[in-house]
Amino acid sequence: MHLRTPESSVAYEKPSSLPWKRGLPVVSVLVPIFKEKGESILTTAKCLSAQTWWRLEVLFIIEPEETDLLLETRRRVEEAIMLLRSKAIGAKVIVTDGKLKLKPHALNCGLKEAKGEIVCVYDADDSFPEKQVEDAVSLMLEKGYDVVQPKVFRSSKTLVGRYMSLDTFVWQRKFLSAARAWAEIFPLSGEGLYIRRKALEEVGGFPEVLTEDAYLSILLAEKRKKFGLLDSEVYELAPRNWRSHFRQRVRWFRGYLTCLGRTLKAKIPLRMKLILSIPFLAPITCSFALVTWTFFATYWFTWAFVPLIRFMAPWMLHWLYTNAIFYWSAFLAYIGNPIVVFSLMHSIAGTRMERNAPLALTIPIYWIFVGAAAIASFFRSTKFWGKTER
Amino acid sequence: MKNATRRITTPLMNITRFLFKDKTELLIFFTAFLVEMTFGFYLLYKWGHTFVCGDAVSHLYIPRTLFDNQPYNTFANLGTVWLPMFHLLVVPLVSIDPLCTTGFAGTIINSFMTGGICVVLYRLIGEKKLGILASALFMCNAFTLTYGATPMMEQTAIFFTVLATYYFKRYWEKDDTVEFMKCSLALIFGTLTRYEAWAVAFLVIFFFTLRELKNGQSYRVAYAHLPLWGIFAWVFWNLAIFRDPLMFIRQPGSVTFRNVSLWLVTNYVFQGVFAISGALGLLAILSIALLYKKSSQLAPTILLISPIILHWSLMRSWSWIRLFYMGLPGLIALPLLLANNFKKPLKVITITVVFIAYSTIYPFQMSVVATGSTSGVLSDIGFSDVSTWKGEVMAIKEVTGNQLTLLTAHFRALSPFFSVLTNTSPSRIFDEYDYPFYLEVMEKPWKHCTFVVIEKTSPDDPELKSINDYYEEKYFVYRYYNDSEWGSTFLQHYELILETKHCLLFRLMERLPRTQMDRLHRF
Repeated sequence: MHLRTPESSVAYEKPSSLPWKRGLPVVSVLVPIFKEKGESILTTAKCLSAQTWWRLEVLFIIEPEETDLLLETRRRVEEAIMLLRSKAIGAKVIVTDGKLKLKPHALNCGLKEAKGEIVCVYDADDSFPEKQVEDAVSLMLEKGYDVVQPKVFRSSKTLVGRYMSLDTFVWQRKFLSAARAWAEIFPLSGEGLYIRRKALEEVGGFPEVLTEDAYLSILLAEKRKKFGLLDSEVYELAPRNWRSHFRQRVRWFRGYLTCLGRTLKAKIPLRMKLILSIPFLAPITCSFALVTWTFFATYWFTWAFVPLIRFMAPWMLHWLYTNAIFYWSAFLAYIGNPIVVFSLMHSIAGTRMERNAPLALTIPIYWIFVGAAAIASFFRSTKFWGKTER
Repeated sequence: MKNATRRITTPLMNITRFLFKDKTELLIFFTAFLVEMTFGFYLLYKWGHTFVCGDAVSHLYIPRTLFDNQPYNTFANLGTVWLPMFHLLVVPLVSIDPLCTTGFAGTIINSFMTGGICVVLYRLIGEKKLGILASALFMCNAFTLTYGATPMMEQTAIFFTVLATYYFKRYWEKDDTVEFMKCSLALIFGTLTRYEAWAVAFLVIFFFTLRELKNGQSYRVAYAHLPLWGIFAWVFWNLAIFRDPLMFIRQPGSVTFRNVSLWLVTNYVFQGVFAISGALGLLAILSIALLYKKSSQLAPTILLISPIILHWSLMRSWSWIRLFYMGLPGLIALPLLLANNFKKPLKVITITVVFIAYSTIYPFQMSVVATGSTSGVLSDIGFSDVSTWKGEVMAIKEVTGNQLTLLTAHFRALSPFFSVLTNTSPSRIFDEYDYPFYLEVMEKPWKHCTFVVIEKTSPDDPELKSINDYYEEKYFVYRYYNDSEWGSTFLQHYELILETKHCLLFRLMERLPRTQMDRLHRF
């Protein structure tokens, strides 16, 4: 069978197998832990312990309320540390100051203790191949990248997991590679993120906002840092249920709104601004799409099937609606939805994801859910992490 | 200067590289394109226009009503009987008056399509010399020249169908769903161009589903509906605009299916196939029998001849030659694909037989090129008829000037003739493209327009009655002949000022009400 894999995308790179002559840098792996399941911590620890890169230190960063050794999370962290030490990998626990319950705050606490020239971030529950650290470091040294990102896939066997899997697949395959090829930057993900410590310190550490990863890309772009895409994968468990996924989406969208404001102010080339604005505009486009399309669909259904009832809100006579919103809604309905479905099916065609093709047909329904999360994001606080349950 | 040139040429080179695989393809495309354009100029020289029939005139009038029909220049004017793709493609060109009035807007679009068909045929055959031969045979056909140089939809539909077939063949050979998606995309456009492509879409789905189920990849059946998206869009359009998803069947002017004997239809089919391809039809049947076990070659070519099979199976009472012309690429491809399977002596013999079979039609086809009409077969080719109409509408235009005129687009397509051939803006005409205001104008034309054109016809014409029913019994042509009360009121306001071969022109005896004049000025 003819198979296309995400690896075929030209924007993703693998380092050459040539040995380099410089000194080997130490890599500090930061693993923030907050309300994690025991097995999730061990999953990440096992992948780290299997790495071929031996100049590694792993820092598990926990919140003050999870320091009690009787707690399951803490016990599992200790177990993970034992496992890593048994493979001659330095590992320790860092406790945050508890001032702010945000992932980037925890990461900054870990960064203070980290010794590596390259810092990388993984979440509990991430699994990745044993050569990932080596490949990432090699690529950074070989091509002079300041930040490198492997492909991140979120999936599980549940329906929400399968939708997320499709979503992340297209994100990685289409958007990130196109963004990297066109603007030489892309919005970063918090999982499997590799960054030079020096570059991170130049931008003042991890920005303490909801989507610190995406925000970090703006700051790094301003400093003209080099972005690279690593041809390797990180698998993360998708949210446990729809509720959990909704909270995750709301958090992302709220974070994106912050990022959007920062992008508009950023002193970066227009091309970079445009490419970063596309995802950061998502909360506005998705919520706007859902609202206008709902009214449009109601209007159209009553027109087509119930000629006696004329659904017409007074504001629908406003020139803004008749000249702009109506056409925007019609475009979304007649052109936007088919393009999304066609593009999705095209992305997965001939790949291992092709089995999800029947689900891809229903993606507009999933986007209604995403639109609802986008609306909710306007009312969310920016001060609380909102941990995703997996 | 050098940089500026490079800035222009580099994107052009990139586009060329993207569209054409090698120089042969580029050569084939430009040869076909230039031949069609030259033939278009020949038609222009001979007839003064490139309209093959009244439908061709309508195909340029409809796109014009989208932007030049104040205040009713809406997308709804794309209508419901004719599929919209060709009209959308030609929109940018009809805004240029000389291209619209001569029909050359359609010539340009269809010349590109002919070039495209030849390139895709070349690729489809899969062997260089045979591919060039296939393209050459397609080009050396009077109907290719004619329909490629006139604003008809057939050439555009053939292009999308051949393109879909090419990608379907690639899917079949490589078992790659991406190729199937490309095939589907071509079919989405094709099914929005001509109804014949609907048959191709259903056949593609049938072959695809059968193959994937046989291969145990049932999840791939989720892709099977993609070729139907164009059809879904059309049905949805009909529902959204006309509140009836099957309006394209029910509206007056759409195709009517009548019971005609199988033998008569078969006779029409044989006549049509012979007229377009000589004895290639027989060779095609033979090729199907011999390619029976080569499914990767047979399945795609069956798609190409499906328009012929469709018209045969529908048993329509009329069978214009252009309906069978849509199967010409298949009739050419089938024997050449067969020849591709043979070794040299047999291959040469097959090609020779193809030549002989194809050349049998030249005496007939030469007269089509020379006279612009067909004899002995059912055809709507009539350049001279359009020229006659042109003379008639020009005479009407001389009287009406730029005054508002009520006409009809349904019955013999008079308003398209009047607008396109006399270069009159659709906004100066009241016709079906001004619906729903048209109903008001038809009811009391003396309040809205200075001139009314009524066609000469029999009062018992069944088409007249069906149009009248559709327009809420307000169709002015029907009422003029059948509603004596309305007729006498009409004649109190209007006087007959001109009588032509097909039409009666009436002029308002009093001045238009001032309020109406003001309103119409705002149009």
